[in-house]
This record gives sequence, C-alpha cells and structure tokens, in this order.
Amino acid sequence: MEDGAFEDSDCRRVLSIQSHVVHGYVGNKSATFPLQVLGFDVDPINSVQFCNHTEYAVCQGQVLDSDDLEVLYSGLKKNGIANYSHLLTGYIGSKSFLMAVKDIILDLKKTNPKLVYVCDPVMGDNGHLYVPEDLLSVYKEHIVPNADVVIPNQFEAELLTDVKITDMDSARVAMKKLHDMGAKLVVISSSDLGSDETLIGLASSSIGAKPVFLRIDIPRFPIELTGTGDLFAATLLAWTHRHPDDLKLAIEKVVATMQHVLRRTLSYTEQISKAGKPITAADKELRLIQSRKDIENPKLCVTAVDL
Amino acid sequence: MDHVDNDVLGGCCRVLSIQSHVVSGYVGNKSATFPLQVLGFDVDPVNSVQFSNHRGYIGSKSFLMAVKDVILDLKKTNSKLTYVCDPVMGDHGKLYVPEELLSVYKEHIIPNADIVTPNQFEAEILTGVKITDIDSAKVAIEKLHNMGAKTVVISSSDLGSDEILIGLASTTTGKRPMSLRIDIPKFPGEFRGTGDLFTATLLAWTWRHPDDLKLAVEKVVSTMQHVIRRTLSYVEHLSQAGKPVSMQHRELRLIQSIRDIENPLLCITAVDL
Repeated sequence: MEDGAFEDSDCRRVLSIQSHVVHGYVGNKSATFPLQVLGFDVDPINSVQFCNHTEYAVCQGQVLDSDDLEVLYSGLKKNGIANYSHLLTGYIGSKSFLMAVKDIILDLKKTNPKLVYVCDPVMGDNGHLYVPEDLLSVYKEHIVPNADVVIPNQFEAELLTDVKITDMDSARVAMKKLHDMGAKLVVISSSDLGSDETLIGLASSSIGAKPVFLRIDIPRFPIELTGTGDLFAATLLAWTHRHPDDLKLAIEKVVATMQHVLRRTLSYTEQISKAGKPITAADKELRLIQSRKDIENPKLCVTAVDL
Repeated sequence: MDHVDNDVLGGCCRVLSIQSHVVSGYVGNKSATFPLQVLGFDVDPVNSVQFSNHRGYIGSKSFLMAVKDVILDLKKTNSKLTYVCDPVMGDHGKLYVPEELLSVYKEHIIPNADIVTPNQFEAEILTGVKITDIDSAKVAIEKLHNMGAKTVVISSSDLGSDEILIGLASTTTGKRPMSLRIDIPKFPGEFRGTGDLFTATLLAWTWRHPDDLKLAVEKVVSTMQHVIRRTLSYVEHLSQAGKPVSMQHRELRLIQSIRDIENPLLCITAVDL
C-alpha cells in the first residue's frame, strides 16, 4: 500500500465500539483485522472482554459499563485524539451503554460533521429478540437518525419500521422508512425473501442525485457461523469508503469477501469431519487470518442487480 | 511470499498474548496483534488493561503471579509451547514497575521462558551483571541461558555510539546454536511500542526460521527500520508543512507498513560472534 498520500490516512480512522473476545472472531475481533488490512487505523473500544463468544459451553469475562465508556472517550478527547473519519458500532447489551454511545455519536459529529457512522442495530434475528426490549426505542429515536449507514437484518428492519417484510415491495417500504428516519445508506444484509439455496440482500442509497436500489442473491452455506455480521459491517465500511460513487461494486466486494471467508471456514470444518472428529464451536470460528488475501482484494463472485 | 495455509498446519500458529490494550495508538497488544495476524498467526489477546492511549507501563505482582499460573498450565497442556517473554521493567537505569516484580521474573517467569527479550537494563537487573562491553554482555546472556531461557535477545544496549545501537542475540537451541551482534542505525526521537513490535515479530520470524536465528533477527530489525523510518517520514512531512507534531502523529505507522511487516526487505546484517 502506498504511503504517498499522508493525508489519506486521516480519512481512514475508525472508532469501533464492540465486544472483544480473547479467542475467536466476533465483534471487534471480527472487524478490526479486516479494516486494518484494508488500510484503516482502528481504535477499538472493547465493550466487554470475554474469553470467547456466547455459543461455547462457557462464556466469562468483564463488561464495560456506561461510566467506563465515558472515561475512555473523555481520555481520548482530553488528549485531542478523538479524531475519526468513521464510527462503527455493533452489538450493544444495555440501554445505559447505548445512551452513552449516543452521546459519543453526537459529540463526534459536532467535532467532525463529515464523520460517517456505520451502525449495525443488533437486536435479534429470525423473529427472536436477544437484547433488552428498551433498546429498540433508543435505536429508533437516537441512533438510527444519526446513522449514515445502517445494516439491519430483516427482523431488525421490521422492528425499527413496523413494516412486515414479505416481499420486495414491502422491503422497499421498510428501507424508505429507514431513509426517512435519517439513514443515507440502508443495507438489509440478509432476508428470508430468497429460497433454501439463496438469501437475498438489499441495498438502498439516498445519497447523490440518483438514488440507487440493488438486490444481491447470495448463495447460502450449510452451516451457522458467528461473527459474519460484524465482518459484513466492517468490510462494508471499507468498500463504501473506497468506492463512494459505486455502491454496486462496494456491495459485490463485501459479499465476495464473505463468500470466500465462509467457504474457507466451511472447508476447514469439512476436513475435520472427514478425519472423523466432531466439529466444535472453536472449529467454526471464521478463518479470518487465513483469508487475508481475500479480504485485501476479494475476487468478485456474485453480481448485484440494479432494480 | 508464500501465504502459510494454517488449514493444513492445524494448531501450531496460535498465540496467547497478554498485554495492554490502548484504544488509540500502537503499544502492547495493539502493537503486537496486527503484525502477528499479518504474518499468519491467530492471536488471542488477553487485554491486561484498556486505556484510551499509552501512559507508561503499569504492572502488579499479583497479575504477574497469575500470568505465571497461566504459563505453567499451558506448558502442562502443551509441552511444546513457546513462551516469548519481554520482561518489561525499566530502561536507562530506571525501574518503572514495582520492585517486587523483579524476584517474580527471576524465580518464576524467566525459568519458564523459551525466548526472552530484555533491554540492557533489564538484563543487568535479572542477572546482577553490569554490562559495559560485549564480553560482559555475553556473561549476562550466558546467565540468562542458565536461568532457563533458550534464546536471549538484548534488543537494545548502550554499547554502540550516537549513531548505532548494538543488539545481541544468542540461542542454545535448534540445529545451530549461535551468538550474534547486530548494529542498528539509531533514529532521532523516541517512538513508543517499538519493543512490543520487536518481540511480536521476533516470535513470528523465529518460528518461521527455527534454525536460523541470524535470518530471523535480520528480518525483525529490518521490519523495525522500515516501520520507524515510515513513521519518522510522516512526522517530518508534517513539520515541513508547518504543522505541529503531536503524540498522535508519532504513533508507529503500523497499518501503513503492512507490506514491510509481511515481507521485510533486509537492510541490515547480523554478525556471528
């Protein structure tokens, strides 16, 4: 990577507020390495430090509360180093923490009106809420209105907009509502609108003279993996920054990255099965390190369609 | 360069790294993790602290004793584990951790370390040997080997000159035991996180070249030279543009140095002693 344009690195500084797991790849562990490999300086605030993600037999560690978050952020401010081009947030587990995140968003935007806030409003999936209910109103009233990019799954899009998504038309209605709420770019990273083999992703941008609306048909993998949403959000941040006027290309690169990482991870689990061993949660961790070349320069393998 | 495919190798490329985490900047786990990941290692970082930015080293005896328990347990589970220990205690004659850590390092930590990377001051306090020349440095290194460390790298010493700092490396392990000296051009100014980067890349390159400490050390020092030179260029660029240079500007340009980390162009030679 050329270091010629020194100023360029100032456009690629991300504050990322997510969980940290010692082992495995979710939250900041899933987001940081890809962003760094793509040339971003990442400042991770770890909202928790757990030994691993919650799908293991045991999950232990420490949690940051809203006061701790304020202490960290104010330390950055006092040193004059809270200078970011991007903010990235994912899973947040409590209302008080989310409200503290809201204060950070507002403060960062006051300092830098051009800040791009990429928000994954993690609340649940497949009809099942896995955060406290009181987070929903905070997302609706305070977070999404300040988000530049929002990446809900179908369930989260429905919760945020009260629109039941049953087909492309209702999906477009929900996405328009998210635009009206304030988000300039809306990506529904996964939906049930496809089939057993394919999941449909949708992206809509209200930036620029011509709104863009895209659909991308993504081959499903026969395995449930964790950390994929966090990887999606991080690579979306990177590729929309790299291709600010070409959402189609950005989305295709994000989805291609996901495909390569997932395929590599699936292969690894298949090797283990073939050797006659049972597949553990540890075996299913995303093969991120091994996928570095794909993250840096993903070979396109899926095409998005302009609707 | 070949991208090592860990899928085939299975478990040998996984590092447990217990260091500080800073939100902003590159010291501790922030300095160590990215280079190791870029070199193909899965890194499991246990963050001993989470600070907004660096502010000097903090250590406690109780934490170090807990680390000792982790080392012993890991070695029980995997006798082939390689423990790389940077015994951070101070520099230039000054201790910046509580004094009680010294005996814990001497009695419990160093005896279980495979690779140890003290600076000159740390080597002196661990061994009781005053280092005034290459011979006394070799005595100190020999003592560290006797304490249990198979590979000893004195990452920096005052034995050089204003322009050059002398590093020393010695290993009693592998097919080629050797003792080396490497003369490293100094850079103007202080940069934080360099020791952590040094130790992380030493872990990677000694793993990659288990029987060639000379090549491993040359790659480590070359990496350091490229990263520091890039960081210094950035600082100079700002000065020339008439902008004030803050501490943030002096953070190691690690991200920008990814290619040098992956495949450092050798720019320095180690000499067999």
